[in-house]
Order: sequence, then structure tokens, then C-alpha cells
Amino acid sequence: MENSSQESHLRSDNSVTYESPYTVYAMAVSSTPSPTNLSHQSIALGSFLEDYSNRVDIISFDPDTVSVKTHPTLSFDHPYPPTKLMFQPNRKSSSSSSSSDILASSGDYLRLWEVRESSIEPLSVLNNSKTSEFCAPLTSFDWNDVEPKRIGTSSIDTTCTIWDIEKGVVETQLIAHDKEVYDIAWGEARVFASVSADGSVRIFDLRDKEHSTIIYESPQPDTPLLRLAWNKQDLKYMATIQMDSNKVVILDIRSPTMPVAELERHQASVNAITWSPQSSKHICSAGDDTQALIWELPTVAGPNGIDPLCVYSAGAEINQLQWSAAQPDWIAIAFSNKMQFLKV
Amino acid sequence: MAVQHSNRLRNMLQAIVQSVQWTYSIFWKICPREGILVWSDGYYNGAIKTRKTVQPMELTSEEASLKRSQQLRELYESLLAGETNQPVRRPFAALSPEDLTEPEWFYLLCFSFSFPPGVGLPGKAYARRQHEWLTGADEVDSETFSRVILAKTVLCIPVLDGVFELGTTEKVILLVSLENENDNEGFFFMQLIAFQVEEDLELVQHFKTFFTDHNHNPNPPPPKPALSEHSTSNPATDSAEYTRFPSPVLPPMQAPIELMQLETSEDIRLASPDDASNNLDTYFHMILEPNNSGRFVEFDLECLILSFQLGFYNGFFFEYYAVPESLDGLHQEISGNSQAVSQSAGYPTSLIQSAFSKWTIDSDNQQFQVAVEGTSQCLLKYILFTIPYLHSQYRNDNSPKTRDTETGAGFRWGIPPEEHSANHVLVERRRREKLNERFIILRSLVPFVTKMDKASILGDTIEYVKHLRKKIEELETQSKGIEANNEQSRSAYGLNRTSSMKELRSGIMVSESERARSLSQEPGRDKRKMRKTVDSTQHVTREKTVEVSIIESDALLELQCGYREGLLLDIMKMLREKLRIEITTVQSCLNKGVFVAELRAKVKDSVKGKKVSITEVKRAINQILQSL
Repeated sequence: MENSSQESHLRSDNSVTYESPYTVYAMAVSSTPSPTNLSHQSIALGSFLEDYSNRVDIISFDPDTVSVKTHPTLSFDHPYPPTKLMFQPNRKSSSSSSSSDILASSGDYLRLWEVRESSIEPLSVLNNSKTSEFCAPLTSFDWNDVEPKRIGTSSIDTTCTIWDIEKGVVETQLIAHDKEVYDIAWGEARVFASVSADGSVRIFDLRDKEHSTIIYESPQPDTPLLRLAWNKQDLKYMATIQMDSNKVVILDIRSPTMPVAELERHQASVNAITWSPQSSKHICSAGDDTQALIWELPTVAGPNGIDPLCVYSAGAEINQLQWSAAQPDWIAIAFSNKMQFLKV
Repeated sequence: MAVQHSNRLRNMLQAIVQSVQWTYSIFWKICPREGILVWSDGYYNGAIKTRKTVQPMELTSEEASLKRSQQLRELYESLLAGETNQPVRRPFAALSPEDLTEPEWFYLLCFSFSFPPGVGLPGKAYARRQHEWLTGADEVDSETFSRVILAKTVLCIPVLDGVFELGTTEKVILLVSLENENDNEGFFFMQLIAFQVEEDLELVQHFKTFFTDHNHNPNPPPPKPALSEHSTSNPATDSAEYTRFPSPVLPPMQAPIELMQLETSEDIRLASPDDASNNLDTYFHMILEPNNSGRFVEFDLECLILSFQLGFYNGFFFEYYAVPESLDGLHQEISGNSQAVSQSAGYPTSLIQSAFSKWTIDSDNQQFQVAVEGTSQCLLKYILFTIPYLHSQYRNDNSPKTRDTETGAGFRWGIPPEEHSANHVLVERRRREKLNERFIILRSLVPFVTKMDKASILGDTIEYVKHLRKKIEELETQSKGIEANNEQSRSAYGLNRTSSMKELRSGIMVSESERARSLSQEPGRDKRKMRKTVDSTQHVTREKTVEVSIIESDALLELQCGYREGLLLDIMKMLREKLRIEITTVQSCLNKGVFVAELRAKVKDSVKGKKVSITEVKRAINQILQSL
């Protein structure tokens, strides 16, 4: 990682590209200013190498000059590719020192890392096993932005585990589905939803752990749902994508089983979805057709379905998408070994 | 210069008020000496009762209104003079008080008013440097608006050296207020859009004004190219040459294009005006279509400043927002926000064009030329499907303990013992899984299962068992009948036997299980049945069969052979002496020279502590049989 700040990216007026030494999958944009420079934004990139040793790097993005800078010291090893990376949401500077940020990574365990100005220190490894028995590997997790001490993880052992990361203990562990759980998303402080290989989207309320509500099941039974996104601006709406499907399914939690809309304009399978951090009606999706589409959800759909507002074509299949609340003008995408920031 | 200026001002006032069809417009100028706002100029555009002119010719409507305003002014002055002096004889063509309509009186009254900064609506507007909008002025108390007569809606906009006031007798709802001050050129640029909310639901009326700084070159700079070609139908353009329309002070690159947060309160769609300028394409489309209830969309004012779309409507620039009818709190916000806009209009990122291009129908077809070489979603699938198992494999390979792992999964769950509910649920799951497994086995045993659900499996199994039992009974009766008839049924028997062997595959299993049961000495008709079966099927042949089963220390021996005297005794003696098998039960019969016997025994340990094996027993028995 000896790239200088100038070499490793291309820039134009409305986008900047960072070229990583390896394929990138997991990506996170910090919600607080970078510890190195207050006007910059930190981005964590997880590598995707079919190997045991993988890496997570931190780079910083400057929206004013539309450029990225690498920080060779801000980097750590990770066993196998991290399945998800996420920075601490909405950190108030009063709670901890303003010179560090916290990054969470999931893979074999949930790990917390402190991102300081010139180094990254591991904070904790959250392992649910009380005995020497192992904790099941994690497919995804979500950091509750209303209650920042709460992280929910989803695992292939069909359970979702809710952690209190301040104390470092498990709040609760629920068997969420009949098959592996692939994604989890928080709605409110105590409500989360998860999707699974059994093809269902279920909502759980921590106040009533015995019951869950199925709000959608994939039309072909047992077709896995791979990703879930909950609209933080309008908690009625969620979006999910199915395996090998080019449709983005929009759900209204008030009317279960029937999707409110199916956005079908991708020409290949969709890989990632993310709601706008500011507008309740906008959602962005990216897929194998190398396109990132921004959609606006109307109150009434036309007869031919809903068309996206605008489109961006990358050079390869887009695998990851992040639309951060800290930078609502910019969407970050990852494809092959590149990460790009695009002006919306 | 002063005259020119006042003319210009007059014309401007006229243009403005006429463009929105409001009742009057007044310019309050700040008097430097006293520091208060005094009446500088005004234009009355409202209802007129009687017209008195000296000129016989027809005036155009503008000229007539202009005249009217002048006449009102004259009347005022005469009245004013009349207070102090003796009544002055008025000119013939002058207006007298009874000629005026009420709005005109109101207008007249305004001449006498003056506002220190902060007092009254114009004073407030001036002091805060923000426009003040008052709707329902007739309902408001006199503190806020002391000149309440008939004006229902009043708007005050502060400009460089005064306040510009607009009023109307109709109730109007402000929809947008956006100001942008460009200090360099001294322009005060303002756009207003007003919606009238009446039962008839009239749409947009808007106007735009800008004021030039009085001290500057009277010729305004040429308008920015992009949009001024559009002709307007507004009469105001015919007037003053400098009241030009849509020349945005903002660079034509447009206003910050960002997201707007919308929250529909009714079923209203927002889509774009029909001919939006090319530069202004954003991904917003907003058309306002009021529904029958006449209410409008609510906007989150926070985001108002950050985002708006410029477009065309009837040749005018406008931006539109909607606010609900209760304005008093909101118009403050609007003014606050609009100031923020004027301050922040210069931020650089807003000028960067989006990296995204607009979606067209074509883009549906032509974009995707990249061949998907791998599987679809291959990275995502690898992340979700493969990586977790890689972790487990890694753990298993490197863990010091080898545990029996589930096939394919290779990991075990850790169950926190404190989580009783989770524990219970897991136990319950295991039980369910066991049941499921066994159902599956049962299904595989029963040949004619049609459906896969548990009830059908059980039902089909019941049918099958009944069928088997019936079959067994039939075969038994058959075999009885055949006993009577050896010769004829020999071959049939063989066939029967083989076929029965095939069909009753599970029957044999049944009999095996019965045999197992019989090892534990369960009495019952089953044993007898089995023996009978054995008898009937095997009685003809003279072949030797020796069956030995040993389970732990229980042994079951079944013999069939040709008979000789003392055979049984020899066998029993041998078993006891050589193999240490203590016989407990013997059942035997002799049927036409065929000896069939079933012996149960207990196997004792040999000297070395080992028990004798099945093959040894068999060998021994065969030896005896061969020595026949």
C-alpha cells in the first residue's frame, strides 16, 4: 500500500475513483468526520480474496476537492473477507474522544476496532460462546442508530444475536428463521427485521421475543432473500432483493405479503440496495448489469411499472453500494477492485 | 434623475402589482433623517368606483390606473392640506372622498403612515431584512397590522433602502419565497410564487421583480441568455424595460440540486413542468395537481433551501413549494431559510453536476453489453454462502478438539445456559428435527406414498401395514391349501415363495423383528404364525438350513434337516459341552421326514471369557448334520 495520495485515484468533477490492490466487497462510510481532518470522511474497505488473509483499509474522502487519500497505517488483517463493515452511527463527540471512530466488522465474529489518527486498535471480539463451543459465523449485522450500544448480527445458524457492545454481552439471541439468516436491519430502537434462505422477511420486536411477523415471502418457495434495507426516513417501507433476481421488492410493513412495488429495470441480478439518507422516497440499487439506478417512489405507479430517475454505468458488476447520511450528496459504489464516489 | 427614478419606481410598482393582480403596491422609503419608513410611492390597482378624468379620450388601463393613483395622491394631499388650512377648492376633476371605494380609502390612508424600524409590518420587514407575509390581515390584531381595512394579504419585502409592500384583498397563500442577494451588482432578486386557494383552485400566479439599486446605471445588465427568450404573456413586460423576467442571478448552472424531502399529506403527485430547461434537469419531477380538497403538499422546510428545481411555466421561472394555510410560524421559517440560501448559494459542491445521467427508455436496452461471465451475484453469494463455512472449516481444522460435526456444517452452536427460553426452543427444534427425520425414513419404506406431508405419510403407512397383514393371511391360507396338494403345488410354491419373498420384503423384516422380539421370550401368536409359515414354505424341501442368531447372551437356533434318530440329542449335547450354550427352550416337529427345530439358549462365557460366535455354532451344527 505505498500508493501516494495522488496516484491511486482518478478524479473528475463529479466522481472520484480509488483503485485498490484487491477486489473490494465490504464498504462503510463513516458518519462522523475523519479523525485526520474534520472535513474529510473516512471510508473502510474490506478486501475480497478467496484466501484466509484479507485486509481492511481506511481511506479518506474530501468532498470539497473530490479526492481520496490513502492511509497506509490505517489498516488491519481480517480472516477471510469481512462480510460487512460499519462505522458507529451518529456519534456525539461528547460521549468519547473526538479523535477516534469505531468500526465494526463481521466474519467469524463481530469485532470492534478503534480507528485513531494513525492506527487502528482492536477493541473487542464479541464471541457468543460460553463454553469452548464456537459461535456461528456471521453473514451480516446492523448497528442501531437510535440505540448505538446495540448491534444485531445475523448468522448461518438461523439465529440473530443482539449485542450490548458497551458491556460486551449478549442481550438476546433469537432463532429468527428456519434457515440461514442473510441480513438484518434495525427499524427502531427495539425492532429489527431479517431475511433468510427460507425466503421470508420477518420483523421482530425485542419486547415480545416469542413472536415475529412475516411481512413477505418470496413467491417461489424457499428462494433465498439476500439483502434487506429499512427506510430510515419512513419506517413503513423496506426493500429486499432475491437471489438471482433483477427486481427490487419494496414492502410496506402495514400490508404484509403484498409488495408495494417491484422495481424491475435492472438487466441482471441486483446486488445491493440502499435508501436515501435524507429523502423518504428515494432508493438506489446496483447490480450485475454494471448499473446503479436511483429510483423515486411515486404515490401512484404508472402502467408500465416504475422507471428510475437516473442511472450510472460503472465498468464492471457493482457489488456494493453505500449512501451515507454524512454525505448525502455522494453515493459510494464498489466494483471489482475499485471504489467510486459519485455525485448524486 | 429623481424624476426618472420615481418614474421607474412607479412603473416598477405598477408592473409588479399588475403581474399578480394584487390590489396595491407601495414603496416605503427609509427617511435617513428620521430613520423611519415613509411613503415614497405607490400604485393602486384595485377596484375603482367612479372615474373622473379631464381628458375625454380613452386611456389604456395602465394609464388609467396610473392616473388613479395620482388622483388618490392628490386627494390625500388636499385632505391633508385641508386639515391645516381652510378648505381649499379642489380641482374639478379631482376625486372627492365619496368617490372612493374602501380599498382606495385604505390606500389613501397609507399615505399618512410611517413606520419606524421594527414597528408595523413594513417596519418589521425592514428591521429583520426578511420579507414579512401576512395573510388574513383583516383578522389580525392591530398591533401587527394597524392598517387593517380590507387588505387580506399583505407582503412586505425589504430592499436596499426601503420596504416594498404588496397587498391584496384576496386571501393568498404564499408558496415560495426565495431571495438571493448578489451584493456585487446590487441586485435584489426575488421570486415569489403565490397560489390562490379558493374554491376554484386557481393555480399558479407568480411574479418576479427585481429592483435595481437606484444609484446604479439605469440600464440593467443584459439578462442571462438561457431563458429570456421565452415570451411572456404578462402585461408587465410591456412596461418598464428593465423589469425583465427570468434572468437568474444564480449562475445558469442552477440551484443546488439535491434531494428534497417530501411528505405527501394527500394524494398529490408532484411532477415536473412540461418544458423544463435542459440545464435544469434534475431527477425531480414535480407537477402540482391539486386535488379536490385543495390542499397542498407539505414540505420539510429544513430541506427547502437545499433543493429546488427551476423550471418553466408559462414562460416564467418559478420555484414552487407549498405550505399549509397556517403560515404564521412557517413564514418565519421560510424567511429564515431563504436567508440561509442567500448566504449559502455559493457553496461549491452544489455546482458540480451529477455523475448520474437521466434515465431514458433507451437506456433500458442499450446499456448492458457486459457479458456476465460468472454466476449472477457471485460476490454476494460467496459472502453469504461460502465464507461462513470457510470459517467453520478453518476452526475445525485448527481446533484441538475433534468433535463430531454435522455433515457439511462443521460447527456447533454455543448455547448460553442463561438463555432458558433459547435453550428450550433449541431443544424443541431438535425434537422436531428428529421427528422429521423419522417421518422421512418411514416414507422411504412405504412404497405408495403420494403426498409428502406427515398426515399422508402416516395414513399411507397404515394402509400398507394393513395390506401386508392381509397378504400374510392370504399366503397362510394358501399354504394350508397347498399342503393338501404337494405335487401340483410344488412349483407354485417355489414361485409363491419367491414372490412372497419379494413382496414381503418388509414382511421378512417384520419377521426378523419378531424374531428379535422372540429372543426376549415374548409369547404370542406371532411366533406360532412364523413357525407355521416356516413349516408351510419349507416343508417339502429336504435342504438343510441352519439359522443362528446370537444377541449378547441370547441365542436362537433354527434347524431344518432330514431326520435321523437322536439328532436333536446330539446337537444339544454338543452345544452344551463344546460351546457352552445352555439350551432353555426347544420346539421341534417332525414332518414327513423333515425335522424342524427351534432352540433358544443362553450363551455362557468360555474359559477365556469370550463368547462363542455365530459362525462357530453354525459350523458345529453342520458338522453334526453332515455326519448323518
